[in-house]
Amino acid sequence: MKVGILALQGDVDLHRSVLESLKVQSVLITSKEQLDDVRRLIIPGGESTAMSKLLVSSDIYGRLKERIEQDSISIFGTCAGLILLSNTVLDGRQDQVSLQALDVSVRRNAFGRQIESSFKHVEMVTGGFIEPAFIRAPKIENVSTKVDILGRLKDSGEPVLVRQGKMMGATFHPELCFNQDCNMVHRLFLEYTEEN
Amino acid sequence: MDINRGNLLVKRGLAEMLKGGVIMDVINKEQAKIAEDAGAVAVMALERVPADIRRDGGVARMSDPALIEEIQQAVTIPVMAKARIGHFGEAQILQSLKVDYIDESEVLTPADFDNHIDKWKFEVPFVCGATNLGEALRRISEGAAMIRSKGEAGTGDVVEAVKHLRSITNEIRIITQLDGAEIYKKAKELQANVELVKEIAETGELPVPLFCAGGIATPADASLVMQLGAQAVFVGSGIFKSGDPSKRAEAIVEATAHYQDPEIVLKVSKNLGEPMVGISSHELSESQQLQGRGW
Repeated sequence: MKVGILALQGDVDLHRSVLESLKVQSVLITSKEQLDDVRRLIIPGGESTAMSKLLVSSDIYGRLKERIEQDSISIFGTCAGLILLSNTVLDGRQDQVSLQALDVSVRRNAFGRQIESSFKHVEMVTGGFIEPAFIRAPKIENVSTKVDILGRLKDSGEPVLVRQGKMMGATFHPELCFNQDCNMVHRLFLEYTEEN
Repeated sequence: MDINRGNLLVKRGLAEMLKGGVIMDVINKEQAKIAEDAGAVAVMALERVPADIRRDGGVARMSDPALIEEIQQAVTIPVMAKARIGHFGEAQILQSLKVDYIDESEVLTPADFDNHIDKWKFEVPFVCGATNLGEALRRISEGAAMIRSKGEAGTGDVVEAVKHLRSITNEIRIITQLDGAEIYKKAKELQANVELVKEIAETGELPVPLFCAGGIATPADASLVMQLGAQAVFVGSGIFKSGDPSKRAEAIVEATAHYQDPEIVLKVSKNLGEPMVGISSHELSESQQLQGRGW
């Protein structure tokens, strides 16, 4: 079964390459009708404010909300994608929408401007560590007890990778990494949401 | 070596995040807010849009840092700013200001007729203009993390942007067909680093994201250049020199995201008011053209 990648704006190409390297077929989603063909979706990194507007104007937002309520879709969001999944967005725009599918509060651009962007060590709960890019990255400030923490920053212990049921979100970009190790994050999403 | 690679990857990373989006020229915080409201992925902060720089003449320099700061405070999206070609002094100031991207731009008056900025020395990423692949690869060798077509800024005429984009993508397609020996000859012709030419032969892509700039004025223009291989769009004078900037900005954002769907581009193209008046770029003498700046 193909994995959808929301392709309204953002680093769609990088996610597609990761899925390709894992031999998983992907399909780019730019309309609500295309959404009906997938049960798994990646929301890429990008600008959450721009994506929010495009989600609403294309009505993909409405259709996604329905699918989340029906529990008929699994979603993995990276960076802006996590912001769009979260219950509460801090330092966002007033009119910015989010899908409220992950019970976390996320602060936008919490590390500062691009000059603060870097690779950081992330310790995985499943063992091992990865070193993905954090680009103008957000921070997860509050995590409800319903949410599992799957990865933490090595230095501060802050949660950076979380999961709640069919929803998964990362503050970083596992799709932007020195080596293939970061693929483990996409593999986790695929394992958790394996279709029987 | 690894650290440099990392740097480039982080720098290129932000360009990856801007793909499929629109970066808009703004000259004050009010315009910056209109741009953000309309769904811009970033703004370019400057004192005068290219159409006015063209009209006013004289020396065009980096904007007042206080203006850039005001725009940084007004919006939550990335803020870029322009430095003159070769003017690393201006670029250092922009890095201290923590702008998110520096555009070493032919729209400003060049500060060095021989050398561009050594962009490897900076932590803030750079975007540079190019009219052909050789120029693009020279800028990448100097450390540029994003390439944009130059087009002919401040005209509202898309013809030069189309020419530059087509030239770059055409050369890339040719390289993918060359054998090992021919690649060296091609690198010599392009006056470009042979390693970069080899990389293109393997990947069929520029090593950094390729965006389009220079003369985009309508949603149809955005759709055209995206279909020609641009991965995002810069709009300079085209928005705030038009009759209804807010509506036009939103329409260009929609057309860039949905460039493959003419129905959507049609819908957003209706009733946008007056476009910028524009100048046909063929009426400009060579000395009036900005695209010849850069070496």
